[in-house]
Amino acid sequence: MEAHQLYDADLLRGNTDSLLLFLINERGSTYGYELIKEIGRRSKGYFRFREGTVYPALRKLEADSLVRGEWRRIAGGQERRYYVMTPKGRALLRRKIEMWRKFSSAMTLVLKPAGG
Amino acid sequence: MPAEVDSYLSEVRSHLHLDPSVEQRVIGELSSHFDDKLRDLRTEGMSEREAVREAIASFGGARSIARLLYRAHSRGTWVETFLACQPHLLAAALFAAHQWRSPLLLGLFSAALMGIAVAGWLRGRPAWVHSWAGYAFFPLLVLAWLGRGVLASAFTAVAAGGRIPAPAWQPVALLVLCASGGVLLVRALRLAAGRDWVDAALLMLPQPVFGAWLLAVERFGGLTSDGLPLGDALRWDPAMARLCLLLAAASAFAIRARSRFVKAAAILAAGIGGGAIIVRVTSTEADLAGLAVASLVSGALLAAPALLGGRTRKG
Repeated sequence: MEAHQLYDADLLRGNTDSLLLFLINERGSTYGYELIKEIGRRSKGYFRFREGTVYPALRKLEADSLVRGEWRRIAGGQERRYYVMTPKGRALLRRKIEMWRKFSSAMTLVLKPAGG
Repeated sequence: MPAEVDSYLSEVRSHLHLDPSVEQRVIGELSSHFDDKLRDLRTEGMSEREAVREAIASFGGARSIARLLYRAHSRGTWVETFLACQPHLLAAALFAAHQWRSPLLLGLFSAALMGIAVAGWLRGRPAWVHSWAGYAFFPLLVLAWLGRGVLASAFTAVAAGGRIPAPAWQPVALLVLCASGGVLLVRALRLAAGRDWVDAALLMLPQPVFGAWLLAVERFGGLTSDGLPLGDALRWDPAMARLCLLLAAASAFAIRARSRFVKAAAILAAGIGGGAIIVRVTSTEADLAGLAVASLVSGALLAAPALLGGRTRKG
């Protein structure tokens, strides 16, 4: 995903996998457009990116066996590609969340005004 | 689906350069995204025109999205990489063991090349199959090369108003074989280049090295002769074996790299470098100009499918 100029684009790009894995894991199974909407809703529109970039990111997760994609027929005969977590994806997500918590706690501690 | 979205998705597809079945799946997923997005935008109260404009704008530029999708889909698995390297490694083994003139091994190698190339071609033409197809045409090219004398004398006789020298079936069979081989090669190149120049270049990769080697061997009396001159040609075998390993490495890069630029660079470097190296190894008289010409010819052979690909896609 490529962010607009609200923040350093690399910051979001480096955490795209975590965001997608977290939401896929939480929802059980989901699809690209729902993920895009959910990221926008939860971040209150803070994370802004070109929507098309979500699909290559999902494909990379699939190629690395972190998620599994499957086509499902929905109402109206339309087909939609859903993504579900794999055990490998779940294990990676646990590690990434743990790493992120430690990282953000450390950042918060460092950025706290001295003597505060 | 509105015409503007269809046109946008067609543009994305034209820049994907992926297997048609993969392209279809990718475009199918993007289509369902646009269906959902347009429905939501209409629900929010946008007009059809505004909704389409907004949906396309928020998705991103067709070319850049296609490039990202290509990078995400184009990386072959290790099994595919292994398969793509095999014909080069088998050729390297034939040269390393000085067995390229063994009729049995050469026959087995040619049969394996053609069998696997045809089977792979008929089963969706995965990228690795182009390595095999490149070698599969080589027995035909060698046969045409060996039979050029027979063909030339038949043409001379016919042009002079005489009859084809006996046995007449030889030049006729050779002509049919050469013509069908040529048509097949052009057809294969057009199909490969129509999807991706990288596939077509993989198919052409062995031709500069083996073409230069074949010409050099001919200077020593030809593939079919024995004796001291050919003994000299056998001295090039270690160099040929190493060059085949170089081609295997380039094929592996072309299959595993995500970037199209890296794939193209690996193939061009190995093809052009390999063509020049084999000319240098086989000809002590080759000067800088000769090597430059060899590099240019190799580059032209590898780049030519791009023109075919362009015409195929436009057509």
